[in-house]
Amino acid sequence: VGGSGEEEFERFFRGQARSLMRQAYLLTGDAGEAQDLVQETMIRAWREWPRLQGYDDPGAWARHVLHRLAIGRWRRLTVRRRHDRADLRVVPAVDGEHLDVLSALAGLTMDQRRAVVLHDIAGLSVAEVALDMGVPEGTVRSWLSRARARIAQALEIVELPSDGGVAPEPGL
Amino acid sequence: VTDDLHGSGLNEEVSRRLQAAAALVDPLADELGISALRETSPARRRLRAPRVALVAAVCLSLALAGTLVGLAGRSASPSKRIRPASPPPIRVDLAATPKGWFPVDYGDLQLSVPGDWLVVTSTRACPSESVITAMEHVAPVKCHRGFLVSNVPVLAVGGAHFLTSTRGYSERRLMVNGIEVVVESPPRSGETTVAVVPSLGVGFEWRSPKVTIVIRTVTWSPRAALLTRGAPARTPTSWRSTLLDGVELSVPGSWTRHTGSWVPNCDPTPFIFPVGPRILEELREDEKSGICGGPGVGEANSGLVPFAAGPSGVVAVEGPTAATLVDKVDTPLTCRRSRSLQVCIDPGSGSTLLMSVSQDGVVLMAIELTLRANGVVDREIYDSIRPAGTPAPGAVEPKEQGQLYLSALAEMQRLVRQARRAERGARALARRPVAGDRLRR
Repeated sequence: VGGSGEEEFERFFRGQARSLMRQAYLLTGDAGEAQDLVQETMIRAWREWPRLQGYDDPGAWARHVLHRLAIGRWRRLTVRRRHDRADLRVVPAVDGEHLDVLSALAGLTMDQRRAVVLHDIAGLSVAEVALDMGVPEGTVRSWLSRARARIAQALEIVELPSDGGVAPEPGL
Repeated sequence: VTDDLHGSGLNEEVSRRLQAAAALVDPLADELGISALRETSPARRRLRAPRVALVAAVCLSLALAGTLVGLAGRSASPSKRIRPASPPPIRVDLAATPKGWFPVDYGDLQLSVPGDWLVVTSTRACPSESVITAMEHVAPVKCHRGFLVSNVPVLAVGGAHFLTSTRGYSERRLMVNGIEVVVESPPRSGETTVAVVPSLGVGFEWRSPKVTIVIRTVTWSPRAALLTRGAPARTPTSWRSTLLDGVELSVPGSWTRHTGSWVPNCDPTPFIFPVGPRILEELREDEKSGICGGPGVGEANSGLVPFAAGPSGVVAVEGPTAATLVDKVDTPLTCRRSRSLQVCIDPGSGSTLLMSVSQDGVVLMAIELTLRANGVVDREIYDSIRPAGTPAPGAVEPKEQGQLYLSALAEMQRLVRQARRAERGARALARRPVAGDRLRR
């Protein structure tokens, strides 16, 4: 990778690191794991940079790799959890609500979680999420709807009947 | 269901909560270093491969030599103390303190707070023990039903006060930097969240969401590292000894010793710091405690004193004042003997270590050591406290060092020859046809 390529990669790195980190964290629920996943994604991006430079959106490639890595980790964990203590997690910051968010996400299926992360954190539209995940838009809508309902229930978020506004219940 | 599911207020609120939770890892993203990625370039890795092998071989040899030197030293002279080969299990994680933050110690626990916060110790608020309070503005603190309450503090750290059960709270167990933290969340919003580190007997509570990131900074304190059991730390050869009324200790060679009266109408006191007199003068103007000793001595008794005011260093108080200062070391945390001296540590919980040094039951002096960084320097100073005229721990004569080096080198060469013989044997075995092959032929 040449000098200008390095500069471009640095810009790409700075531009993507936070978004990828946020996605990885909500996918895994573990800050340490998330950091590892982003690091691994960026290492792969660096190796492939001469090719990626020509892409319209190298960020999409990085996001795809990150999610694949997270899914692989999730599958491994599903097996490992039978033996390990699942309640010990590394979190970057803790308050009741933050942990409730993580717990609610942990209760979703991996597809639901990915859909939520892509839509709410990566900022993709439903159509883009569907394209990214290779499923029909209706399926994405269904996943998002169920996921949101479960998260809202876990966080005790209720919709006010009057103006459709949302007010958190006491006890969050 | 609307097009992008952002139409409903509920969906927006869920989205907002998710984004807020995700944003908490932004500092971790900023920690990711691009330079580390560049090192993993395949071309560079290929170039580096032989160097890595060479470096690994040299490191292995040095580690082997170090172990052999240790073994040789122990067998040659039982009085020589060698640093243990394996690191102590308790290590202060310096990386746990983000840039621009500063660490706050309470007993064996350390956490860090933003650099612009004011952190105070107070024994007036809760007389049975000191409490550390972090706040954005100065405000009085008081005790109420076993909990520290105040109108401004955003975080309070303490011992027994925070270990009482919290009825109705939901409990979660987390592992932060290798330390188990139990977080107790209140049943209603607006109440205090409590976190307890049961293994260290320390707890902290907070109300402000600004504090939530603080929990990620939990690690061992330098005090915990200093008090870890193990062989006495070897005094580095670059250090120099300083004599204090029958007691000797070693400090880094760059540190300078001063003697003066820190507080008006007090006896002159020796103090040894890695800072110049000008800085000390400035600190003197800020010193309001009015208690004899050096900067920081008596800090815990002064009510509301900025926690991080004291610089690194050693303050030694000799004579009768020493006895009054260490009166409270009646129930010391731990004591150790160094020949005829007994060194006892005050059970106080701050980032300074108050010690009494006594001989035949008579207090010779009080020594205050400011704990900083990973506690390694502090441990080496602490272990070097000894009767005047006796050698520092692990001091090795230059001549003896040379002999140990040569014997280690000879042992290393012997092991290399042995490894080569084994490799030749393995190659010969690999070339020899096995019985099955011969039968097939």
